[in-house]
Amino acid sequence: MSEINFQIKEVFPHPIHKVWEAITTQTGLEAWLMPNDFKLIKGYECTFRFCSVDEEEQESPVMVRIVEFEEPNYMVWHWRNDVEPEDSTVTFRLREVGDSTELTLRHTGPVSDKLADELTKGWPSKMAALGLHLHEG
Amino acid sequence: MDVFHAIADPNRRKMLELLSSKERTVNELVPHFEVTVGAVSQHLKVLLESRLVARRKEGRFRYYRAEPERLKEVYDWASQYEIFWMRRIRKLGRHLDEI
Repeated sequence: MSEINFQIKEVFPHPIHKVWEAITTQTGLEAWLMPNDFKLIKGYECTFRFCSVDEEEQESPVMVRIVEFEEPNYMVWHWRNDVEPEDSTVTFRLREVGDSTELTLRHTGPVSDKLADELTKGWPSKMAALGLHLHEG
Repeated sequence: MDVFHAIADPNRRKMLELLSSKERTVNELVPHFEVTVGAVSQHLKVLLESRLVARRKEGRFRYYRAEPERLKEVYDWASQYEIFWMRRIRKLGRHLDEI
């Protein structure tokens, strides 16, 4: 088992409440991340699924538990998927920069090398998807 | 023969598809294409040389079938770019590993 210590920082030209909504609502998260049954409740465990038309082809989902949050500043998730025995941690931190919002996303903790590699390559494209969603929304 | 070259042509990709569902003779393939018999044979030759297609002789007929193992090269190449949210590619990889 190895570690992931990933961080990405993006500035979105949108007000902080709009970015907060995109990362803390079921519809917002579905638009840029994955289909889910998210609820912003501390301790709530939700399921993020991979998009697939075929049920049998479905990858095992990602289980996300909301560890803590403070609107509209930060939110911490415990993230678990596949047969990874331990939770990793995803942290969203928002900061107002003039009329824009800086989002810092960190993904840290014990994950396999393969998963660390996939996530490290994946999060930047997800940030881009979030940017597009904010732009279109 | 380079497998990427072999699948670069849409007719040859269609041919692979047809031959992966069942083995066929050249004459059975021809009606599926808008090219001449000669062209179909040429495409088959490329697929044979790239080892994406194999053939067997039975009586006076030659039967062609797809041999998808070599597509693993394509998968291995594409999987360098794989990210967490594209896991269906990995499914394909596992499937190819099992063949």
